[in-house]
Amino acid sequence: MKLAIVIPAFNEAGMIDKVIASLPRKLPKINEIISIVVDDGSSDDTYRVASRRADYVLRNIINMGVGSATRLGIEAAKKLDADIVLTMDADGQHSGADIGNLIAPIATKKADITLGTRMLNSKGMPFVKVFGNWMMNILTFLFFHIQVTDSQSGMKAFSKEAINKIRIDSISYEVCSEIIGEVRRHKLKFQEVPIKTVYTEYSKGKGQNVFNAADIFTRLISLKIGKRR
Amino acid sequence: MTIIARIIAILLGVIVISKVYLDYKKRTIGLTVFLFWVIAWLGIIVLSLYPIMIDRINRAIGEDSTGLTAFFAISFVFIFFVVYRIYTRANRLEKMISDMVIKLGMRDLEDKK
Repeated sequence: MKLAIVIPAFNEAGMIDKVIASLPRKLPKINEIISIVVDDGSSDDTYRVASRRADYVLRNIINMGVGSATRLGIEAAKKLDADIVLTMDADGQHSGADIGNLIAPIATKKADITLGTRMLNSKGMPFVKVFGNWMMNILTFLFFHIQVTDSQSGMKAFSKEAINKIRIDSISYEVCSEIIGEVRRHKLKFQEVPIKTVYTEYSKGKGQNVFNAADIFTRLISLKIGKRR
Repeated sequence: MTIIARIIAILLGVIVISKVYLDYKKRTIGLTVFLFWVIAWLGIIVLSLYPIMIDRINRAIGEDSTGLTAFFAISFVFIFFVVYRIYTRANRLEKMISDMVIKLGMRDLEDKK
């Protein structure tokens, strides 16, 4: 089986090398592991730094948002004929050691999608992020009627069948909720898998903040209305 | 003044519904979006034809009815129209730009393969 690890990155020149270096080289049931970094129009050296170690580095010529970058990475993984696709953040908050646990249910056909959840062990997570996640879980449930513990986690794994079925229209952070909506729309089997979160001063300053919530809310409305079925 | 605003609101409503219908036929918008805008604009047309309905609603909820209510209601039509145009265009443009950027990114992959 071929595993593609997709890492959307925006202005992560200082961290991306460490993140790629932390990826596992061998995993049970996996013959080949490839890394695909998507530089989302960074203004720093992310592209050059990532090119030193990643197998593929693609570039959004302008900064579109994590949704657009994730979509490009998944499209590339499809083209490269990956059997399993895993997405993770580029700010160092995800641990490469969790990848095996995340892909195991997919490799054994027990799930089509696995969601890495930081909330089953949220020790160390700043309160504002815990509160923001809780609000987003409620919002995701209201929009897509699926209850999850960490709707905004960027660490997810998909089977080949799942990536061929789901359609991502999101451009920005609403992508996490949209993917959960796609799980329901296509009746995919999903599992939540606890993951460790590495909260450093650097990673705390990255990612979503409570002020993104209003933006995500309006984008979810637009997505919900606009999704052609 | 109010009668002109009402006529313009009705004409705009008819134009928008026709345009939304054409977009739906061309499959550039989905059924949900089509129904949403048709219902919204039909509501505006009905209120423009029978602005007395606004006064009746006002009276029913215990507010004083004034002629200004209808005027403000019709004025709202124009704001709504502008928001509608901006919303649809911004959405379409954002989606088109994202699709284009992704296509360009995929071209890099082809080169690397």
